[in-house]
Amino acid sequence: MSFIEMQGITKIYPGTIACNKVSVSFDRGEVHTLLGENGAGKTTLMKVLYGLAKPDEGKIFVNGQEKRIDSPKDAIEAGIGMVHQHFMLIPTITVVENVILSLNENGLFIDKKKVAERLLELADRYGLKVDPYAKVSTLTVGQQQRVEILKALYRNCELLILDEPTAVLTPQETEELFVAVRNLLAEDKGVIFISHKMNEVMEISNKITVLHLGEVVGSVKPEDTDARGLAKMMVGREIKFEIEKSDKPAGDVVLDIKDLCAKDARGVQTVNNLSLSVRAGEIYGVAGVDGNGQSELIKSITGLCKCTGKVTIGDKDVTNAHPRTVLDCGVAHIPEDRQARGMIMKASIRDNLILDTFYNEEYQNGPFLKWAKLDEHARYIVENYNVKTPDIFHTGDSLSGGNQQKMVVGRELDKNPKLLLAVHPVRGVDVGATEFIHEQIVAARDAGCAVLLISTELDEIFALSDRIGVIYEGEILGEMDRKDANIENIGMLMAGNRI
Amino acid sequence: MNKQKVLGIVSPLVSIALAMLSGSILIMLIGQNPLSAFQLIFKGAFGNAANMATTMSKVTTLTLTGLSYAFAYRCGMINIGAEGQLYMGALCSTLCVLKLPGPPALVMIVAVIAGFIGGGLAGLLIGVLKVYFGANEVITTVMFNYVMQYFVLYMVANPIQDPASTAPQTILFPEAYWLPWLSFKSKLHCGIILMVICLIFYGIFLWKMRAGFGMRIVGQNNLAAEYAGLDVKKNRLLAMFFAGGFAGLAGAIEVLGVQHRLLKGVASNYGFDGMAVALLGNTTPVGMLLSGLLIGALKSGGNALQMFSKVPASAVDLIRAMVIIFVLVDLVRRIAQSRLEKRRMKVNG
Repeated sequence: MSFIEMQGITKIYPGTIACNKVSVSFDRGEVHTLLGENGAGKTTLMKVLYGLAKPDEGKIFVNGQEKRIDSPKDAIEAGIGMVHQHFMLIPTITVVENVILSLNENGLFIDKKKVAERLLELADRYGLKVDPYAKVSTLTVGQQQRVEILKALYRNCELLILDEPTAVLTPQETEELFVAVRNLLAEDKGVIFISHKMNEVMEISNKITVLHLGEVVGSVKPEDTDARGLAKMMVGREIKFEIEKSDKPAGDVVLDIKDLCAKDARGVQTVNNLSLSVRAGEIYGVAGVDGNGQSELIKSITGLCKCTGKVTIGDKDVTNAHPRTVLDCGVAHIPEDRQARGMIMKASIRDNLILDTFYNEEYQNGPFLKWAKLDEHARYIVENYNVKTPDIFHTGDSLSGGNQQKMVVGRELDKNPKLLLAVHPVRGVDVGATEFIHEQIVAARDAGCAVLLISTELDEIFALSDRIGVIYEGEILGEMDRKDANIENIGMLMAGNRI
Repeated sequence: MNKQKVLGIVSPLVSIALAMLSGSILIMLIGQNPLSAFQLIFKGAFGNAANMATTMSKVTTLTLTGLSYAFAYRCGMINIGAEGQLYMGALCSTLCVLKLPGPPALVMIVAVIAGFIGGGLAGLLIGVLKVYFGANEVITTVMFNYVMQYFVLYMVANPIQDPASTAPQTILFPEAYWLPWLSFKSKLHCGIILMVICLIFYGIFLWKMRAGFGMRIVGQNNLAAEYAGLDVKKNRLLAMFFAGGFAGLAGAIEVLGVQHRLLKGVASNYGFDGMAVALLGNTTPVGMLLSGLLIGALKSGGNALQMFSKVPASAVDLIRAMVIIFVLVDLVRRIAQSRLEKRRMKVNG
């Protein structure tokens, strides 16, 4: 008998069936990975299990007994804990205070010391070292994640859900997390691991269940398969991991950045004397953990935030130029957060596809726009970039994540840019669309476009880049040709160690 | 026509029906016959040429204040300040009539333009406060409504008061300064033509012109607009100028075409009722024309109801409020959408 058994779970959201009669069971003492493209239903299934979403059909059994889980409170009682992708911690108070807040049975008075002692004991037992009296805001992302796990363990959790836990970690921090996970298994606790990083999945899992479009494709043990096989299960076909590039040498410098400094919205300086340059026909990959100044680097180039230093595109000084001026230099920009900045969810696909091109002279008719021509342009992109939609007048949010991104990529690359800024171009995109988008970026490079690629996924950096720079605390800590780079030296740099 | 569009039409209609229904229940509770009440409202609004003219003049003002809300809304702002901007427009027009020398016809035209610009500047002020100081426009517009209301009260009670009157109002303007009649007999003034022109301009500007398309992008997602190289600040300032301008024009038409003087309370809630027009009309040109007609008819028919039956005019206010509540709740769209989706799911999957 399994610890937790989910039977025939169906969850319908407007526009999609997130889960369709999914049956899966989770045991103690094993890491059970849920693998699938974005939109495959992994997160929804976990939301149902943790009481955050109400299923339209299906039952959940705990130790063989049917149990209704209507809220996280029910889930916690059943021994289920969840560490969300975005942490649920209050940064201005200490670790122990955060733990106390998450407890239900607080009396009139709070015994901080007692909680802290138990916390330390748990931390010791599972190798999750953290200072209970440290303010959360002073902790690194990896430490905050440990606090989240400790919060769950403190509440006697038997089955821990980790939703994409490694997305924000350096390779070294990931290793530390895996040590803790193995300690949990040794205590006969179960772990549900959600990820789409193949190598990690192969390393840590005891059992892998693959989901595709809300349905279970199958369950395998890692020793019976390999990354290629899993990828095939995920999308139903073989995936190309290598991308062919022409070996034309790079041309003139297109983007030149000297001594760039910039602050984020909170006024904290996140870019520190950063210098780099990208040449025509070259992909410069910026590797690094999220939040090391990548956002402000791109914003400084595109005129979306103020900076000091010097930014040159071609032979034009665009330091602190208006975004329009930068775009007019032949810049295309795949922004980091497509739904917040790259598109308008409630506007039509047509409107999204002409978001800035409507400014071009060829579409002007005095103060009016040539709508027929704009429609034609939009249809052209939809066709050439495989955006799957019945017509261009549906709203942007009717598209799946992958198709939204194809729409953004199509709009940007169709400009035939001199410089492409590609920020997490495949984040939240399924494997099929990933392959397509990568091919398009490489095609632009082959056609002589300078590409600045920013990604937290080393696979992506390695697959695409000609040169790699690692960004750490707002500076390029090291830079090397693709052929000299490997997981070890890049990983060390990402963690802040100079080589 | 796609389902979204059908819903966009059906949803407000059902909201109106539900509001009528709850109004009827209320009228029955007072012990009156709802059917005859609605008959009275209809007669009061459209019964004869004079009533029709009164209704149309209300529709004119309402649709303009509706446009004021809609214009700001399409650029991503909530303008609660049409009331104050209307006062501002009315005051500017009045000052032109009272102080400007020259041929009356010319002064009248200048006064209309001054009303638009005065209201527009009042709107622009709100825009400046928002764009450069980060002041929430909902709060500043609400506050500005009071400032304008009391400023106009001060003006009509002191510097520009009719010396022959004790009431807070200016002299009755000489007839030469009045907006020309479209039909003298029924007293239908030509403000309605200005309103229709504004409505057409609104439609063409936002959906056909480059500047309007940019403005809608700013309204739908200002981060995306910034990313696409649009000037968010400039667009917001421009939108607030137009929003204030339409309300100011409404004020100009009220003093030049309806009251023929500036008096305390000249806005008489038109600013707020305009929000109802904009919301019920889904901020589309045709929608707002229709909802302007409805709300205007209710507003003018309500007087007849009060006069000729035992149902108080506030019953009509209540129906009007109910319409807005039902529109905002958007019950119909929600139910229809989730039904449609579920059915589609079942068919497909």
